[in-house]
Amino acid sequence: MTRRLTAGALTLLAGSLILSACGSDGDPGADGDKEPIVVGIAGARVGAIANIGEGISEGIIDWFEMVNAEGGVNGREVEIVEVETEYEAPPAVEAFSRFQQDDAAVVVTQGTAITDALTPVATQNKIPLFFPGQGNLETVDGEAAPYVFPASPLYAHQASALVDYLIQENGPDTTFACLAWEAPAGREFCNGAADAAEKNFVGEVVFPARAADLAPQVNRLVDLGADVNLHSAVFGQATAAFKGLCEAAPDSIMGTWHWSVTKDAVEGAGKDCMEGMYATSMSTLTTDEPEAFTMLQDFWSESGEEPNPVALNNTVYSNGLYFATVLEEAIRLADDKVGDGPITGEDMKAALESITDFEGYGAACPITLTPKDHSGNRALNIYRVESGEFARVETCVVGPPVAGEPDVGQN
Amino acid sequence: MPLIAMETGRFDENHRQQVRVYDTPHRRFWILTLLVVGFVIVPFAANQYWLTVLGLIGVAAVGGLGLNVLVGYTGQISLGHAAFAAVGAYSCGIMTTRLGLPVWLAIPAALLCAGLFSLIFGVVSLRVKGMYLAIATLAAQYLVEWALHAWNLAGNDYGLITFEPIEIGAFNTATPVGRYLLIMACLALVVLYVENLTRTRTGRAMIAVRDQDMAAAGIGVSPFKYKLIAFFISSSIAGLSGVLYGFSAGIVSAEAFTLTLSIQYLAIILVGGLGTVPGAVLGAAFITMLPIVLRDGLPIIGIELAANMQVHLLSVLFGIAILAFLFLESKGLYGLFRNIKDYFRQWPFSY
Amino acid sequence: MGEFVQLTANGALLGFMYAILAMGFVLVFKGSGVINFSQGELVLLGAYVVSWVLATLGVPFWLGIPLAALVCAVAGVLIERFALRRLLNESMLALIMATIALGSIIRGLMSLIFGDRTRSMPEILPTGTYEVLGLRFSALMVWAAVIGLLLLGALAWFFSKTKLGLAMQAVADDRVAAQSLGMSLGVVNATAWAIAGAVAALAGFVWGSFLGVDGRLIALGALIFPVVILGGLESIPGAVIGGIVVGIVESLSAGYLDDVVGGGFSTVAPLLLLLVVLLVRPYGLFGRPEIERV
Repeated sequence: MTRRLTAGALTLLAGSLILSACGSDGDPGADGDKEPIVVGIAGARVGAIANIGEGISEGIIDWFEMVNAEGGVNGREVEIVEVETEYEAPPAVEAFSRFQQDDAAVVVTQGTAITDALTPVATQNKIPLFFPGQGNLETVDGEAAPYVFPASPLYAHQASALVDYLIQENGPDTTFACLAWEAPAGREFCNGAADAAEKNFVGEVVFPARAADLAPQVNRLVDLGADVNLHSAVFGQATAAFKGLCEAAPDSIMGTWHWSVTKDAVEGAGKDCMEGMYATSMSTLTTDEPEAFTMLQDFWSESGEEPNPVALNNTVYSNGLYFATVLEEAIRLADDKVGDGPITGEDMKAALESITDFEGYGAACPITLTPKDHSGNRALNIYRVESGEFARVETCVVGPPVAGEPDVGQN
Repeated sequence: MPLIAMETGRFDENHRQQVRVYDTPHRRFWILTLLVVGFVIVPFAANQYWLTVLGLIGVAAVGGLGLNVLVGYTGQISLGHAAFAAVGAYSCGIMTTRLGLPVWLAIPAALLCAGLFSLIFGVVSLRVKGMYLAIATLAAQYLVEWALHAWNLAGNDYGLITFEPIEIGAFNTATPVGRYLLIMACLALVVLYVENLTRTRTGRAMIAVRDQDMAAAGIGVSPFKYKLIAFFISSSIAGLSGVLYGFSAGIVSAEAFTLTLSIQYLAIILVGGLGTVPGAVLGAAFITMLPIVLRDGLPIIGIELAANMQVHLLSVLFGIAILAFLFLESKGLYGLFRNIKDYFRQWPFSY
Repeated sequence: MGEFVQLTANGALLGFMYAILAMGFVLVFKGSGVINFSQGELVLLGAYVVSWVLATLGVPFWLGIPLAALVCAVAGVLIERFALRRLLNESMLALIMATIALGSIIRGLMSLIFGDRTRSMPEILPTGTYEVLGLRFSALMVWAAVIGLLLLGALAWFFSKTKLGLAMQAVADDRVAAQSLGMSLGVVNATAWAIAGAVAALAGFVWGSFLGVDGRLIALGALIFPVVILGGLESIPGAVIGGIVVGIVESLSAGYLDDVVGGGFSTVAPLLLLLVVLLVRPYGLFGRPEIERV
C-alpha cells in the first residue's frame, strides 16, 4: 500500500515535470505588435539580505506594472520574470539559464556575490547584469567587465562621500573606525572609508556573517575611540550593530551604507539610539516624494489599486525605483534603435551605455554611462535620522576619488 | 512464445558471473542506450536551458556519489561535503588561474587536495562515530566557509576564482554542449569507478566496516585504514563535483558551497537510495528538479505564488519528501524503481 | 587587564544565552536519544509564537509567555508522536535526516505564515547598560542570564523531585532496564520533546528580544554544538558551563585573535575547541565516558 502511494506520488511528479517542460514556451504577448522585452530578476527575498531583496523586487515590479498599464515603453510591454536565489550561487546559475530560455534581454541581480557568480555566463551569452548599488570596484571598468552594470556609486564611493561630508561637518580632525561585514562587499565599504579618511582612520573590525551577537566586535570598535563609527552590516545584523554602538559608545556619531537606511533598524535599535545617525543613499527615499514615487501613487489612486505597503515600510524600495527607472530609460533607448524588432542583450548593453544625464524621475542623481564607465554616477544623497525619520541633509554629493578604482576617465 | 520477460529471478552460477559489471544482457542494453542518449542524442536535441539543468544534475550526482562512498558504503556520516567540494574547486581554480598549471594536471591535483584535506576530519572519525562524527564534519563545513571569506585565497578582494574554459579542438566548455559533455563524461567515469569499487577488496572492506566494525577488525580488515580511505575517495569525488561546478559556472565564490549544499548531498543519497549508484543519480535529479517543477509546474495548475513563497513552500516539501522516504521507502527512488521492475518482471504471477 | 575582564564578563553573559539554547537540545537527547539538528528552527518557532501571542494578540507577558510555551510544547509532542516515534529503531543517519527535514518544514511554514520581514519582540526585557565596578553589562543579557539560571533550577527540580523527571533520568541511564521496569518510553520521549518545546519558546523570547524575529535565528542551531559537546550531550548543568566556556572563548577570540588569524575568527574558535574536545575527551567535561569509541 505505502509503496503504491509512493509510486503514485512519483508518477505525479514525473507528469508535472513533463507538463512544465512543454508548458513554458508560452505565446509571447499577443496584444501589442512589438515583442515584449523580458527582464529577469535573480531575487534574494530569502536569506542573508532579505530586506534588500524585497525592496528592490517590489519597486521594479510595481514600476513596470504601471508602465505596462500605460501602454508599455514606446508601446512595448515589459515582462518581469523573478526567480528566487536565496542569495546562493548554484540556484542563481539555474535561474540565469531559465532567463535565457525566456529570452531575457537584461538580468537584475541582487547582492554582489550573485552578480559575481553570474558574470562569466552573462558575458558568454551577452546578456547584461544590472545591479546598482553594489560593491565590486573592478566592474566599474566597462572594458574589463563588459556585461556588468553597477550603474551607480559603488560601496567605496559611498564610504568616500560619507567620510568627506562628516569631515566637513565635524572638522578635519574627525577620526573614523569601521565595522566590516566579512563578505567582500562589506569589506569594500570599509576600505573606501579607510582610503577617504587617510590618517584619520583608526581601524577596522571584521564581523562574521553568522555572528548572532556583535557585542565583542562592537566593543573592540568602540575601544578604538573614533569620533565616527561606520558599519557595513545589513538586515538584523545592522540593528544589532546600531544597538551595540548606542550602548557602548552613546556619544559617537554612527554612519552606514544605503542598505541599512531602514525602518527596521530604527525600530529595532530605538529612535533615541538612532537619532543623528548618518547614511548614504544612491536614491531619493520615497518619503521625500521623488517624482517617480508620486507617479506611482497617482497610478495607484487612479486605477483603484491598493498602494504597496512595502513602498513606505522598506526604504530599499526607493532603490528599487532607481533600478526600474534606469532600466526603463535603457529599454526606451534600445527600442528607439531597433524599432519593432526584438531587443537583444547586446541592444540592452548598448542602450545602457548611451544613458546620458538621466535622473530617474527624481529617484537618482544624474547618471551617464559609457562603454568605458559602467558606474556612471558617483553622487549620493546623505541622510540623517531626525526624530525617527530619515531627513535628507545633502543632495547628490561626490566624495574624493577612490583608491583602487580602475581609471575610466571619470576622476 | 509469449515469454517476453518471464524470469523468475536471477541466478548466478559462479563467482565470475556474480562480479560482472554487466550482469545481464538487459542491463548491458540499457547502459548502452543511456550512453547513446546521454552523449549523442541529448547534446543535439536539448536546448541550452535543459543542457544547463542536466549539467547541474550531473554536478550534484557526482557529489552525491562521492558522499555515498562514505555514508552508503562505509557508514560514516558527513555534514561537511560541500566544504570538501569547495577545497577541490578552489585548489583547481588557484592552480589554473593563479599558477597557470594546465587543466589535465590541475584537476587530479585538486582532487588530491580535497581528499587530503578531508583526512584531517577523517582522523576524528578514528576517535568517534555516528553523531559525533556528524558534528565534527559540521564544524569542518563552517571552518571552510569562514576560511574562504577570511583568507585571501583567490588573490583578489572578492574571494572570486574564475575558471577559464577548457578548449581541446572542437570541444570547448565555453559552449553549453561542451560544459554538458565535460560534466557527463566525468559523471560516467565516477559511476564506473564507484560501481567497480564494490567489486574490489577496498570496497568490500568498507562495507564490512559499515556493517560491523568490530567483526571487520576481527577478520583482519582495519577499520582505521578503510575509514580513512573512504574519506579520501569520497572527498576527492566531492572535490571533482566542486571543480565541475567551477567549469560550468565559470567562477566560484564562497556562496557556492554552503551548508545547504552539504544537506542536499545527504538528501540526494537518502532520496535516491543509500549505497546504490543509480540511486545517487536519481536522487540528484529529484533534488535538482524539485524547485524547478514547483516553480514552473504551479502556474500550470493555476497557482500563482510569489518567488519567495515558492522557496518557503519548497522548504516544506523538501522536508516532507525526506520524511516520506524515511517512513515509506527507505531504499529510496532506486528501491522504488526495483520494486516496480520486479513487479513487471514476474507479472502476472508475482508470488 | 580591564579589557580582558570586560571581555570575559561579556562572554560569560553570552554563555548563559547559549545555555538557554542548548538546554532544549540536551533535554531531547537525554529523553529520547535523538540528536536534534532542528534546534535552531525550534527556537525560531518559539520566537514567532511568543511575538505573535504578545504583539499580535496583545496578551500580557505574564500570561502570554506561559501560553506560548504551552503551544510550543504541543508542537514538540506532535513532532515526537508523528515523526520521530516512527523512526525509533532506525539508524543515526535516519534520525539526523529526520530532524533536518523537520527543521526544513518548520522554517518553511514559519515564513509562509509570518512572511520574511523581521518582527520585533515587545520590549519586556529591559534594554540599556548597567555599570558595575567600571564594567559595562548589557541589561538584556543580564536578564537573559537570570532567566537561564531560573531555568536551570526548574529543570534540576524536575529531574530530582518529580516522578516523571526521575523516570526520564532512569531512561537516560539505561533504556532497556527502564523499559523492563514498566516505564513507557513513549511517554518519556513525548515529555522530553514537550519540555524542549517550552524551553524553545523561552529561548525564542530571549534571543528574539536580542536580535529581532526572522529566519536568521535558525543560525543559532549551529552554535549549540560546541556548547553541548563541551558540556556533555546529556548534562543540563553541563550545558550551562559549556555555554559559559564557549561564550568566553568567543568573546576573547573576538577581542584578541581576530586580527591575527583573519576577521570573524570568533565564531570559528568554539568549533576548533569542539574538534579538540572530540579528539581528547569525546564525552565532554560532564558527560559519562560511555559513548562508543572506535
